[in-house]
Amino acid sequence: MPDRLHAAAASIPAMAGIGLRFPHHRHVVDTRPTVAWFEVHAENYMSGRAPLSCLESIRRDYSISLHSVGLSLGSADPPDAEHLAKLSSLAARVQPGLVSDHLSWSRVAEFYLADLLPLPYTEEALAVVAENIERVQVALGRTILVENPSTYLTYAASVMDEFEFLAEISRRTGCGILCDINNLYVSASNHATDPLRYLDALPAPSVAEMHLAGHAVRQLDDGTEIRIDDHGSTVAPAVWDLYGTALSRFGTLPTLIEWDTDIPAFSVLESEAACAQRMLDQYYYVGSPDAHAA
Amino acid sequence: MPTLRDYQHAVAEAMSTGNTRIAAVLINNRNPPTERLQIHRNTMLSALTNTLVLTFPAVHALVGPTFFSQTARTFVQNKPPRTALLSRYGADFPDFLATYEPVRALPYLTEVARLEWTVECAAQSAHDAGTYVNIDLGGTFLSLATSLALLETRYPAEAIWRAVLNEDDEALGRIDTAPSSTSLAVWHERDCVIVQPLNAGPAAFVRKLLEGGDGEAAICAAALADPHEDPIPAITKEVLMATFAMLTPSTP
Repeated sequence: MPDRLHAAAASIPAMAGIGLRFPHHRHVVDTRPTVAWFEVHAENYMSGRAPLSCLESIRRDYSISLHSVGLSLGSADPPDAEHLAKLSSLAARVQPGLVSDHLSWSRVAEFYLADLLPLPYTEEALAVVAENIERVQVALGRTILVENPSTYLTYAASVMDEFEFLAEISRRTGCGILCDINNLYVSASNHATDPLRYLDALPAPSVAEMHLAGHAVRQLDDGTEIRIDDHGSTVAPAVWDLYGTALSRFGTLPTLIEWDTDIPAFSVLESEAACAQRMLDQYYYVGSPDAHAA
Repeated sequence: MPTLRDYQHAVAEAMSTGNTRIAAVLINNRNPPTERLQIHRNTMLSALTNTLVLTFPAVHALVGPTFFSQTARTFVQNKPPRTALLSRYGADFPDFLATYEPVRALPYLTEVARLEWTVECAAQSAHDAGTYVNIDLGGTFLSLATSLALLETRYPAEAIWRAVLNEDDEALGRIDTAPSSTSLAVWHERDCVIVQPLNAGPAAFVRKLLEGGDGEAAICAAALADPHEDPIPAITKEVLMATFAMLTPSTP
């Protein structure tokens, strides 16, 4: 891991964390459950219903990662200045261990499309995304992590694979990579590509966090099976398997359980995080080459 | 060769109108485009509808989830968001409802929506809770909560809103939905938003202060709004003793 990334990730332990959503705020504030770290959606605290004081209260006892969904790093236009200023202000107050957003776009002209849309992987897009990430990193005064998206379509004009694009973005900007294992599995299934090849191609030293979540399966009219990244169920067995492979490729990393649709009781998230933690522990004690050497 | 901007405009067109004609040309032939674009469109519509449900829970309950979703989809097409901060989305929803033909038979719906948007704005001022705007009344300072808003409604919006959110069908059934003017003070306090009706004099007093008037002008406005009553007792009871206001000596 590059030194700058190492420093940024220092306060997020290489353990299983939980994506904190509104329905669980009160529970966390009142009971202070044993969770290694939390990740929150930055936009929820940038003018939202949840008081920032609530997040600051949680921050006193837990490491926090800020996950943005609104920078639109892939837009042809630069990141929205007001949005970036608000994110900078939030980061200054919360002092997160990590800040991340997605390899996608959501904004065109003055409109926000409220989804993480895929990019054509072209040289032009590469230059645009790299410049946008640089702007964000300068504004925040730190490196960020960029997450691989779930995709349902690809573009005729793409001249490289997503993993090549992501690796080159990381090389050009110094940004880290947030490897979302569920997204990787969903996209690979939807486009009949090999997720193991994707994992092999990512620059391991740049991967600083992993995400795990559930997805849905449905059929298109032509009978094609498609997987939808809805964050609405437990992590699929195939995604756990892929996570195991990712651990052997990248080593132990902060790993997040995300759940955004039909959010269940907090205990369900704790149970999923415990599964991830068992795999992290197993890798640490058994799978790691360092562990063998020791 | 289309540019990145061309791609994004084509996909945005498909997302906002459902017209995938141009975007389909740009998508890899192995991917049947329309349904795959529809996945993104559904995600967008679902996210924005959920945002509107959170901001307008009483409107949602009054018209039911199916009708609300249809209404929200039409609204999203007409007024897409301009910021990723979705909690700000919906400011135009009450005005949209005012001209939306399918709800013409529910004229109070727009007023309930205006109240819910005002409540949302007060909730979003959470960061400012406990801070006040100071107004010199000549001898004392009147401090008003910065989240305070005064809403004029033409229907019994507050009674409807309260009954719906309390799931009190009996109270809802008793409400006369004929037009009636009410002034509502709305402000944020600790972890909740408070909605309190004000009589004509106190409402005029607060309105004048919020417009930037001084204490004397505010008292005059109160007297004019309710010429049959001495404005001071009502202002004392409904404003000065309310938790959105605080009186402090102007000199230590």
